[in-house]
Amino acid sequence: MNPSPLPAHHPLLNRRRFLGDAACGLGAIALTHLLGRQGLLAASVSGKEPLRPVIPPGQPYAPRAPHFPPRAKNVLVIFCSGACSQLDTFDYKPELIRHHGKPLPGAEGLITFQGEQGALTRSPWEFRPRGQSGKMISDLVPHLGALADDLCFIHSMQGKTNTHGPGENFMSTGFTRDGFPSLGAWVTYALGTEDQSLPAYVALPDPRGKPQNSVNNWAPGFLPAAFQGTEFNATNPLRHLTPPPGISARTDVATRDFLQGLNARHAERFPGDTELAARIASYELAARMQLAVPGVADLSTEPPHIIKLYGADEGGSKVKDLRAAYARNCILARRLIEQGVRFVQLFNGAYQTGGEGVSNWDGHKDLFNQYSVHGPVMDQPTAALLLDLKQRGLLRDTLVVWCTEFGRMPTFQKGAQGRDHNPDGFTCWLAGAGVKAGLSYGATDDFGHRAVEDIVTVHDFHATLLHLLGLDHERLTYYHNGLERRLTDVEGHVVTGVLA
Amino acid sequence: MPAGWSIKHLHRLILTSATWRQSSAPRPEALAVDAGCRWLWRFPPRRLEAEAIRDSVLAVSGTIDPTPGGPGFFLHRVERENVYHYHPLEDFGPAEARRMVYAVKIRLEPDGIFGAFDCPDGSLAIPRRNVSTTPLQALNLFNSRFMADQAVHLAARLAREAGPTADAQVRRAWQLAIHRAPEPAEAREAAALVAAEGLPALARALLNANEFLFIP
Repeated sequence: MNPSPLPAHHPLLNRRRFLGDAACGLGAIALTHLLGRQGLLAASVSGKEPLRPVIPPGQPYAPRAPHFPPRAKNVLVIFCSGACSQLDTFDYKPELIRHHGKPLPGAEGLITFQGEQGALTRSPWEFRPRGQSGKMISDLVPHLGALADDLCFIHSMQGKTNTHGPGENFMSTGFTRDGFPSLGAWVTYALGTEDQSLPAYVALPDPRGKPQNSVNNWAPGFLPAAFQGTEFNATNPLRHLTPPPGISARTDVATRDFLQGLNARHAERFPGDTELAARIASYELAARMQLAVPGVADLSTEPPHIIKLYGADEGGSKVKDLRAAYARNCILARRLIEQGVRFVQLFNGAYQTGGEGVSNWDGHKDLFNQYSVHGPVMDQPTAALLLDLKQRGLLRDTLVVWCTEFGRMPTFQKGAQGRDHNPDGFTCWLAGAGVKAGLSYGATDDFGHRAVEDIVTVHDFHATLLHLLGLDHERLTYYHNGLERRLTDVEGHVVTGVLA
Repeated sequence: MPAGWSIKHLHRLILTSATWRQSSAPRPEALAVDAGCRWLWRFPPRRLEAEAIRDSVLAVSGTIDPTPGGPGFFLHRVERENVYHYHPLEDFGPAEARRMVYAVKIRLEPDGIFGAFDCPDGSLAIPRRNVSTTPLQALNLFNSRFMADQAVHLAARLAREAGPTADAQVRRAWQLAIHRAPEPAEAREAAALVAAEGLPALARALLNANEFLFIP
């Protein structure tokens, strides 16, 4: 029972959150003024010296050294849009089964995102022990379950918003508001990339469409635009990669040659000007991308057993068609990682196309039927992607991150057959370079409602990801609007318990 | 202050000064000392910002609609379904030929062509824009349908205003796009491109040229 006189979810505004939410307003003005007067603006909030990467103007993607030896060289993020329920996938709660149909203790009159709560409700899917570790994972995701010994679960994730847009922002950028640089932008800003003919950072939206907060998930924010995610997938090719119809290849080449001649002559008049040189170089890089991107996106060279492993071969039903389309993005993700792309962000689930929970994990009212689509669509291709990376030895250098915007309630909503939003406890998992395999870190309470043991905030999560890449989250900064900005704002601790 | 705090006096003083009026053309003796222009002996070339690039393209091709004020126009097709979806426009007409400052700014959905030129999203105050140079900018400017269409419009304008001879067309193209006469070698190469690939090819190249996109 909750001994506090306050309602279980009393929206107490703490000091840090107030300053965070008001950072564009008076709080920031006052703070900047104070710091400015004291000459403190040069240091970041942590007091550590900022380490701003030096970006050569003509080569924004040139590889750069991390702060210390890294465990991972590149990152694959799998983002489940709509908030995937921890209670129906990876967070096994026997007490929830035992208390099925009873009220959530201490939650009388609890109002979450959409309204009042009904009774505690067990998952419609059975949990079974998987792998050598015997990790309990539900029948909704059996293929991922089979890989339990390779995964590092964090069950004690804690967000700070129960709304999708801000939740996506928080997971992708470290801030709930729009306009901040994404994790991938920070990473490519810090490290550049190895392959200079492919984009450093690729975002692969779900075949059904972009996630709710769209490009903000792969935005450069206030970092230079060079570090934004390049958006394409197996369904939609990179826009403007080829000349529009009506311009022949011969004309195209002649025009490009003439243009480069024109630019070269112009640059001779401004010797040493790096901006002009950079722009000439950008056309050369664009020309290399025109050759390289169609090659990497061409899945026809994949052998049948690989296509089958991912489930990209079968169609004919709604689930199979969706699974095959997502599977093609998964194969593309592996090909990009294989080519050395620094950061790949793969989405499972789109904005609410067709209605609530229809095209993403937002199962408010009809969880069983909606997850009966989303589970099989996500499970086999994602598991195949992990397996494929592992078999090719790519997991040695690649960090795989499975995440979502927040979790869901152990109760069903009053009068409905699904779960409401719950930022107080949810599950993410890691796999690959530098993380402990077969580990379950942290825990929620008996019903899977709130993180209670070894709590990992989203800032902690980000600090850990940067650490695995050899980056100190307190020193990777960009000076913007009077502050040395960080991915982790003024928070975050590396979760050493998950490091191998 | 002795001039009675006259702003006009101050402007005159600044604008007639030797510092203000000096050419931004590089000088060998200054280059030898400070090629990176750290001491601001000239104004370094700087790229136009996103909106100014689009406006300049429309102005040079002759299709710009200079009407000030009034309701904005969309650079996205708006799909109203369970939620709103914004798809970047592929076909552009007179309705989209107004200055970009009148384009409806959709948060989180940058313009499909010029958004890549460090055009801020509008969800956060940006006191100073970044100027970065990326291959996506090059692809957008070289390969988008919008730019190909504008190249055709510019070619039509050149034929209309300079008549049928390539030399006159080339001269007019240089005047319109970069405000100077072509060097003899440039004129020769441009005429050869026009002869082989047509006037729109020259127009497309000029609308992508550094000299078009940079001040000075």
